[in-house]
Amino acid sequence: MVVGDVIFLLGFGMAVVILPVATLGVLGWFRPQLPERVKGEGYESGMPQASIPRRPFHMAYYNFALIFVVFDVEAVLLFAVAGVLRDLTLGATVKTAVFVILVGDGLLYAWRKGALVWR
Amino acid sequence: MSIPAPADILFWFFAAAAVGGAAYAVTSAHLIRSILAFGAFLTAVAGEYYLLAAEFVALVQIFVYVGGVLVLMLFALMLSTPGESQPSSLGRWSPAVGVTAVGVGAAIMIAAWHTPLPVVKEPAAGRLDHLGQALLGDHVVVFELVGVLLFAAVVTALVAVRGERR
Amino acid sequence: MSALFTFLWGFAMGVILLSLVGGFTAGFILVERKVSARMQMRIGPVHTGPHGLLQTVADMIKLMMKEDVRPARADRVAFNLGPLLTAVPAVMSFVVLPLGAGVVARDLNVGVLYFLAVPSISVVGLVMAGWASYDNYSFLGGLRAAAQFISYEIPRTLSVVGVVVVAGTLSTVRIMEVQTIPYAVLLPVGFVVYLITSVAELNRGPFDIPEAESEIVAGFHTEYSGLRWSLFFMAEYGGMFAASAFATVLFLGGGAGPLLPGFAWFWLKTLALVFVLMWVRWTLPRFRADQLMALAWKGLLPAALINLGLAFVVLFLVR
Repeated sequence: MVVGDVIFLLGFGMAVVILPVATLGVLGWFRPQLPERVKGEGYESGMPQASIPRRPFHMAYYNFALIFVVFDVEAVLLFAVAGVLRDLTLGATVKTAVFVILVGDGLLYAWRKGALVWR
Repeated sequence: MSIPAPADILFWFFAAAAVGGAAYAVTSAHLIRSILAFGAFLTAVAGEYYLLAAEFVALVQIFVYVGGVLVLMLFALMLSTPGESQPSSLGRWSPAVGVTAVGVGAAIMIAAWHTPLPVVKEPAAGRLDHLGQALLGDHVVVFELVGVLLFAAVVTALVAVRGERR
Repeated sequence: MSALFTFLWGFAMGVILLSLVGGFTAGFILVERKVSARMQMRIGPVHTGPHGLLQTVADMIKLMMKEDVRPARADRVAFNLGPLLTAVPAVMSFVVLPLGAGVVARDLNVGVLYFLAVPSISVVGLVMAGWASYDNYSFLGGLRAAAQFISYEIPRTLSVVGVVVVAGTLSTVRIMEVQTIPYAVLLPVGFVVYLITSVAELNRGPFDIPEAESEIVAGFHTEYSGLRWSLFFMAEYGGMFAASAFATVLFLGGGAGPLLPGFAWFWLKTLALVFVLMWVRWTLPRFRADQLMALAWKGLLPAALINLGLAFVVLFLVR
């Protein structure tokens, strides 16, 4: 059953990957190929590319990614637990609520510290 | 000579992908490709988890590792100047480190090979439920402690990134 | 050799669903152009074919015949992988969607988590595309898109957790079966949060700063043309349908409804949601980057947590 799932997904995945790539490749025969220097430059409203790419960027992105990973783990753990809450006692729901509050507290902390502001 | 079982074929497929991805990730001089190879490694491991009927863990792997940690690594890379990696700074210690690494790796592999692992014939029917029940039952303390840990992680992350200000 | 059969079946379903998604994309692009036109008091494409129906077909043909332009200094591997990593997970998520009563490619035990987890891979694709294009604006667009995606992913996941708590299962088919009252009624906050976050995840509607046409040209897909570019579009429109279908299954009871067969109701509800998504895009002004992030972390995430609390209450009452 489970192995079947994997096989299915592999087959599915292969189809989804191979088809577009093959189409791209096959159609390549029909496309014009007229390389010019200008075509290879980045588009900046028609002017020669002025910005130097791959410079270091703001920390804000990294901040959010960090917090995201923490909440990602929390969300996934909730998934582990959510499915069974229906059949368990009230105590189980309370325990889950405690967990949620703990992590929500983390959100509050980040909020108060001003880490959730995008610059 | 009979064709091996599908599960075995898949196992070796994912194993090869995992090892290949990891090897490329470690040896490539091109950082972005290195991270992509790491992503392939993580996905292959997820496949192995799925084969072990641990579908939940497999998806956690994808969701958290590929969707989160890998993204974090990418962002970290983007914040520095990406491109070629620096040559190794180990200098004259390189051979010793290399030998140690290979030795430890070999030891782990031999130990794993000789460990009697339980053979699961048929995946348990309510395994997802078992997981949830265990987390809320026998292991609820661990569950709540993880909550505390996550909170601590947020605090630590903010301190580490922004420094002790105000 | 049932294993081989499963593999071929998977492959076949992949081909079918890929074509389906391609068809949707073509169709929805046209629908969107017509709908947006009407909303802006004009008519939209009418020349190509009767009532402009063949417009997208013509566009597709044009896209396929376009020269394959690539930035000279782009990293080949990353440049090619970008669109693939963005589009493939979007189509892969269709595996667990029940298109009508119980017609599903594969009913995974963890279908719901699968649907949320697989598209998270596309973040990597967005960053790749932006980075590989070797242009600061594309790069910026890619990073912004990634930051936006991950910020909205948490509230989205949590709103779905609310449904799982009430339904008691992670299987999409089962959720449709056990839904006596549509969960949109029981968990309205979750429903709204899910819809808003889905729009944001798709880089659509008022959340399209990363590909904003008037801001940084086309953001992370500026340097892409022809078929590669259409892959990004497939990811968007396919994702739009997938998100709507998922919402229908989780919140609107799937195929439930009087008179018409489940199949019909499912499609009606899903297409209605798709229309809502289009409507929202052409009505609301675009969010600024910082407003966008604030909405996610300070608005939707607390809302999703509250929704989770509500789900606990509902669970208690249902007992």
